[in-house]
This record gives sequence, C-alpha cells and structure tokens, in this order.
Amino acid sequence: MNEALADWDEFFATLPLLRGTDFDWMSYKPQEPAKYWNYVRKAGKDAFAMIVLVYYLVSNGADGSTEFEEKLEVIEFAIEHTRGMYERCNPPRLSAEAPGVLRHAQVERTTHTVDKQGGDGVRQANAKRGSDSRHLSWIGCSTFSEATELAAPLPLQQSEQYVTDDASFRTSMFKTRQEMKNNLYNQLTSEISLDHRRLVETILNSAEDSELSERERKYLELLSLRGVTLSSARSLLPDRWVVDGVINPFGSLISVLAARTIVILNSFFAQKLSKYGYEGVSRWSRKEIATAGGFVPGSALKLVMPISEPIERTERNKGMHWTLGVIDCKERRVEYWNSLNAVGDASAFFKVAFNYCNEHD
Amino acid sequence: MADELENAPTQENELPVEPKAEDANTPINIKVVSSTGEEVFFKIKRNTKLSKLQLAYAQKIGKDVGTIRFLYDGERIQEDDTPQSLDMEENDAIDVMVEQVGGRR
Repeated sequence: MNEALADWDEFFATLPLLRGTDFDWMSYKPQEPAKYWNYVRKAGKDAFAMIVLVYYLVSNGADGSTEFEEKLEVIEFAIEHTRGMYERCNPPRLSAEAPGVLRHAQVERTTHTVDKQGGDGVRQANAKRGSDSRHLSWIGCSTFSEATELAAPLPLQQSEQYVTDDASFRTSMFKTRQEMKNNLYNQLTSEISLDHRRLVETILNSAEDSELSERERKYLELLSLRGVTLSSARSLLPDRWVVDGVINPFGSLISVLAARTIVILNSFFAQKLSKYGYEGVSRWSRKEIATAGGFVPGSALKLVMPISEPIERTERNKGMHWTLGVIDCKERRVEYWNSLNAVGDASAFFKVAFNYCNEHD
Repeated sequence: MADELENAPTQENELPVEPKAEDANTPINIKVVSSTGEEVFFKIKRNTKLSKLQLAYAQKIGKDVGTIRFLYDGERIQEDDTPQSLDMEENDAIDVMVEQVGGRR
C-alpha cells in the first residue's frame, strides 16, 4: 500500500460511525425523536465525508496506476457503507404515534377518472373511502386548483394537526433543537480525530489559498473536484448559513452513489419550475430521470428536490431555510420535509409538484 | 480497384468532419436569462470559456460573480466549460440565479 493510500486509511479510521453503528433502527421508538434526528445528522455528516473520499479515490484511480486494484477494494467498501448509511437515514413514515419531528404533510395521488358530469362523483368517491389523508388526483386533473378542489371536502393536513395541537411537544422540540444547534458542531468534530478536525478548520478559516500546506491543499482539491469552492465550503463553519454551492455538488454525488432510482435535482429546480412552469425545467436532469425509469406513475423513480424556502421569493424573504420535497412515482405520493414546524411552505411545494406532474406528458 | 478502395474511405470521412471544422471557431449566440426574466444576449466562440461570459455578465449587472449562479440545463457551469464542451446550440439559454442559503437547524 502506498503512502497516499495509507494516509486515507488513517482517515477511514477516524470515522467511527462508518465502522459500525450503535443505533438499532429496528427498535427505534418514536418517543425519542431527538435521538433519531441527531443520528441522521451525524450519519449524514459522515456520509458526506465518505462521499468526498470515494470520489477522490475513483478519480485518482482512473489514471491506470498500479494501486488501482487496492483502491478498488476501498471504493467498494466505501460505496457499500455510504449506501447503507443512506438507507438507514431514510426515515420511517410518521404516524399518529410519532408526532412531527419533521412535518410530513402527505398527499396521496389516486388515478381515478374524472366524472364528466361534474366533480361531485369523484368527491363522493373520495369521501366514501373515508380516508384521513388528502386525495389529489394526478392524472384526472389538469390544474392544481382543480385537484385542490377535489380534495377540499376531506379533512386536511392531519399530520399538521399533530404538530400544532401538541403545544408541550412543540416547546420541548424547540428546546431540543436549540440545544442540538449549540452542540452540533462540537458533537460532530469530537468524533473525528483532532488532526482531521484541525485540518478542516485550517482550510475553512484560511483567507488565502496560499496560506495552506501541501496536505491541506490536497484536501481542498477534494472539495473543489465536485465544484465546491472554498468560499462555499466555509458556509459549513458554525454559525454560518449553508449555501447552494455545497448542497448541489453533493446532491449530484449522492444521486450517483445511491440507488439509481433516486434523482436529486438542483436546488434551483423548484424556483425555476414555479416561475416558468414545466417548460422551464423540461431539460433538467433529463438523462438521469430517463435512466431511473422515467417520470411515469408507478415507475421506480423518486425525484428529490432540495428547496431553499420560500420557493417564491419576495423582497422581504430571500430564503432562510433548507427543506426537502419528494415526488415518489412508485408510491404515487408527494412529500415535503421541513424541520421547522412553523413555516408553512408545503402548499407552495405541492403546487409546484402538481404543476410538474400535470404538465409532464 | 486500388483507386476505388483508397477513395471510398476518404469520402466517407470527409462528410462528418466538415461541419465540425466549421463549428470550432464560429461564434454562437447565447442568451442569459435572469431570475426576473430579463434576457441579455452574448456572442462568443464555441471554444471560449464560459467563465469569461460569467464575468462580463456580473460586471454588467454590477454584482460579485460569487453571489450568482450560472446554470445550463440545471447543471452549474464549471470553471473550464465552453459552449463546445457543453454541446450548446444556437440561442440556448443560461439561467442566472441568486445564491441560496439556509440556516442549519
């Protein structure tokens, strides 16, 4: 094993979460949302580091050097772990027993035919089903407002009610979140070796690239390989806001490494879609979507869009919070994940998502 | 016979090569569309780095190039990309978006 690889082997050893997990997902109890959410964060951070590493190894092995075989083993190991991490991070669906850690407003799509003599037939059919969730038709409706109208007679947003009704839960969650926010950086960095931590901090805190040593420069190169610039990477420091320059490069990396059926779209997708409609984004990630089975109801495709809230910008609100929207073709479901209960942009996302579904041929 | 064999391949090769040779230095018109819908047109050579266009645009609208994002077909344009490397066609649009941020909570 050559020197460079030994260096990275050392790096592997500094990521305790990747060597095994102490969290038993099968016995996860909804009563411990803090623990669960915390774990997702930690796992996410390590997966992040792992992804960088995998990419480094792959791109460096491509030169045909003799160590490629050795690297390949490491890569396979890394991909296995990253994928496992991703699957474990996929949170269980919220139920009445698990009030909203994340607000999981859910809309089910049903593929019924619209009654030509008036919408009532459909409404009654929906009402008869006696379901709690909102049923919106994807195929039957031509516009979002039509779909909303269909859903109107049904009890709305049950999952939101869990959140807003339970004041004590909300207070405790808020407290927990504050604590987590304060401790997050220390928690994360204490689990990485001091050396690694120092390296990252030096890079992020340096004003000029020329201040960096050889090793630090190598590290920085890792980041820039996928288009994460130094200024974007600095947004990961405590008390800074994360910019799209970090979200998007790693989004596309995860799309490549995770199952092929998941396409992580650019964070500007929702914004562009809401302003220009389907036309505006018809060419975005076209290849990836086609590879994943195409945007067809029932196909395995899961479209994931990171969203900087709010989708529709105003002079006053230029965006302040990262959320996640999902269009799941297999489950025929649209999901919106938001770690802040109070902010209500779910309807804006649903509007955008349904426009995409309806205008897509 | 010998002549025929020699001629056949050259004729076949010439056909696809011709348009490419024309492309290399021909300028291409590119539309830059801001998030508010304003359009600015640029004429650049196919092998010129798009980072030049980005700088020119940022200067024109008076913003730091680091605070805006240039996207082609939903992909952020990288430092070394050219119209040729991205397979851009005449009158293709580049989207300009304002940097997005979010608190870590």
